[in-house]
Amino acid sequence: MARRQLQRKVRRPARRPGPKATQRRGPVHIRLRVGFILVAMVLSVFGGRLVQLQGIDPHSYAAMAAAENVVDVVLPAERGEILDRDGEALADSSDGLMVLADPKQTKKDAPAIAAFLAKELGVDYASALAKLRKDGSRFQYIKRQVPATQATAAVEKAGKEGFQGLWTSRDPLRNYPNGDVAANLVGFMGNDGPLAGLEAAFDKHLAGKDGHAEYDATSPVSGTRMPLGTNNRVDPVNGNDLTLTIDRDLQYYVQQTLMDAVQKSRAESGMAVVMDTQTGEILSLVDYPTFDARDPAASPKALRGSNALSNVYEPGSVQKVLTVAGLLDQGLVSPSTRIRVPESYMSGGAPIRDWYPHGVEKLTLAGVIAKSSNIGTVMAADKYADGQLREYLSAFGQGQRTGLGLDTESAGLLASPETWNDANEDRIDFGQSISVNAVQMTAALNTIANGGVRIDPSLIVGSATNNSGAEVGTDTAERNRVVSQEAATQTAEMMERVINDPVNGTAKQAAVPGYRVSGKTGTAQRVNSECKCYDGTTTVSFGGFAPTDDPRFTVYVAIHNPGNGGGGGSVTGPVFSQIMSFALRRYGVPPTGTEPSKMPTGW
Amino acid sequence: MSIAAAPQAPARRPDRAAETTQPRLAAVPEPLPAPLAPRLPFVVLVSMLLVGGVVGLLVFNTSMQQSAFQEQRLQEQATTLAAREQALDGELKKMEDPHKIAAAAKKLGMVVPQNAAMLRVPEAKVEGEAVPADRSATPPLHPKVAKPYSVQVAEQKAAEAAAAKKKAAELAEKKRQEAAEKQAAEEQRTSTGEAR
Repeated sequence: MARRQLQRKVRRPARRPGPKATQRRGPVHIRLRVGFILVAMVLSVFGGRLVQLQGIDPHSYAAMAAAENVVDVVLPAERGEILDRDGEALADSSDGLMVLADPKQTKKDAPAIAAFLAKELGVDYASALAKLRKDGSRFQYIKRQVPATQATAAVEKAGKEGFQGLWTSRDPLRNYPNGDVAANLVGFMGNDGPLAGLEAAFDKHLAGKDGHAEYDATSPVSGTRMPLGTNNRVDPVNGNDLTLTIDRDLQYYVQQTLMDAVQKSRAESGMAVVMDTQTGEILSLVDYPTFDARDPAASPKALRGSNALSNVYEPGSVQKVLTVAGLLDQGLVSPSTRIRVPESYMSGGAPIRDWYPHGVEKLTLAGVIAKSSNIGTVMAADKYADGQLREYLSAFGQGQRTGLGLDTESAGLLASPETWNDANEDRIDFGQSISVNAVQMTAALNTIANGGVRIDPSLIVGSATNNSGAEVGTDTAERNRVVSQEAATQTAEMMERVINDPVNGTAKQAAVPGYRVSGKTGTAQRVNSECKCYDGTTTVSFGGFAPTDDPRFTVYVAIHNPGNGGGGGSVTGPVFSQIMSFALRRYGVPPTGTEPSKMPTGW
Repeated sequence: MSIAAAPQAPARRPDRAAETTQPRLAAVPEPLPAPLAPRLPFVVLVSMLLVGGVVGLLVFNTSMQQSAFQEQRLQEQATTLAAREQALDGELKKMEDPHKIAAAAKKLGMVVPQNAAMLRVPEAKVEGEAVPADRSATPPLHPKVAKPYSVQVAEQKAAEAAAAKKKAAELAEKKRQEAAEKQAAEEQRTSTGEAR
């Protein structure tokens, strides 16, 4: 106030000389005041707006500004390939494309475009029409995982026909070039992720991590980058490859051979495993029937995996090899131990019989194996102390998962020490009252082949971590001695008599000309899952290795419910021989040239 | 306010003095002629800089945009070519499918040998037994199996189950009828009993 008065005092004299001017424009202080008020009003509007923008709701405006023409695209990571041991792809990814539509542009021509897409891409007309007409949307998936060339051609053709608002974007495609070969192991991908096999079990290993790119675009549709604009990019991390120990060509041959045998014997199903004796690598693991990974929907769900791993069964007489190997390791018997085999043998209130009727037979232990005598095996195994057999079988890997990395694997059934009794043991001696999967059985036989040292079977070269966190592969395979080298060698030679003994041998069909081969037949009664009883059907099998004195491969074949009434020797023996012969030739294994075993089988 | 008013007062004071005291009037010494800066070149320079800057920025921006378009075009071309390469690679892999190779081999009359002998060249030795190849070790090609065996079994089981169900239903129906008859008879008996 004081200042204003002072100003007035000062100004007053100055007004005197120009009274005219004052009259025209009004007194100075009035003009100044009006001007000041005007300025203040404008400034307070600015100030108010500033507070509104920055103080009250700063984010919504920022977001609106950012949303305009900012494009955020996902950069899909490429899924790792699944390769066989030679690097041949069993599953690979290629640049598929997804076809997308902007309904804002496609709305007016929707029926024509939908008809066009139905013809070019094979999409459903009605659902495509609904997508093309979707209100308030500028982004609709028309079809995903289209081969790139087909998608590009379709969109180009659409452009030529004058249809606007269609474009494509990257969307990796999964291919299974070999169809059903190894499909039981590889599995397959659904639209929303892996559904079976290694694809599912090693999804985290294979998948990689999607990246994304956010940038200003000249138009959200064309996606042309605006230089000097926002540009945030996180590169995708591609998935890791998975190299299997599987040999694709061998897998094919085994699959076809097994299929032929299953069909010719009018059997229900079959499985076959080929293992590298010295490394435990699984060269092929075949199921029949199986499915086509390119068209999994064509096969029933139960076939879209590996039954060799998930289905357990009673192995039958092949098991005798393990029983006897333990006895030899303990020094309780020798191959020439003489056994007087009676007609039948009482155990647990029920008689045990042999597969062929006979009077009292004079067999050596080698003869018991060669002729596959249940009674002889049980009598020899009576020498085991309590609990010893179970320890051996457990060491051979029975009753435990093999740890290939596939979680669908079943552990099988080895009676616990609490439920174990003598009658049970007598039946376990020859492979009943115990259930296994095919890979367990192969690994157990491989222990004999590998001089008594069991190697964990493996399906993956190197090592990889599956979805449940288990690290598996050849790098992590453990080796454990189960029986002595001598016991293993003796067992192998007794198994050679199964094939080369002209009188007592049960599987002459399993021979591979020129090579020394060891093996064992098995014909087991099957448990029907419905009645939990033996229903009269059988599982016939043959497991063995070659060459006997320096084994390179262990092959195991099992066929369920042959309709022709054949046994392990006649049905699976020839399959074993063909597969073994093919494998030896394929890997260039020469015959060892040593004399075959001639150990006596009778006395 | 105060700042605006302050210079006015001293500015007018000399005027008042001039009215009263004439002799004090003296020629104000002319200000030293300031070196007149050539204004025109400076304005031109600034304008040129400005225009140059704007035009330069425009050209730069345009060329950036141009290269962005080119980048996109080349990117699309690269994608198309990569897709073609992959399509061809895919075709190649499909041809490497063991099923295809086996079929082609069969067409040429080739078979898988059952057994082969091995030659040891330095020792001039033959190992193993060579057997003339026939078709015995050659598995058949992928035959068109209409339905896997297990499906046939499942279907058979389903049919059996359906038959059993039908039978059970028939049996139940029969039982119910019998029960109804029995009940009717009993009712009759009781009614006759009552009558008695």
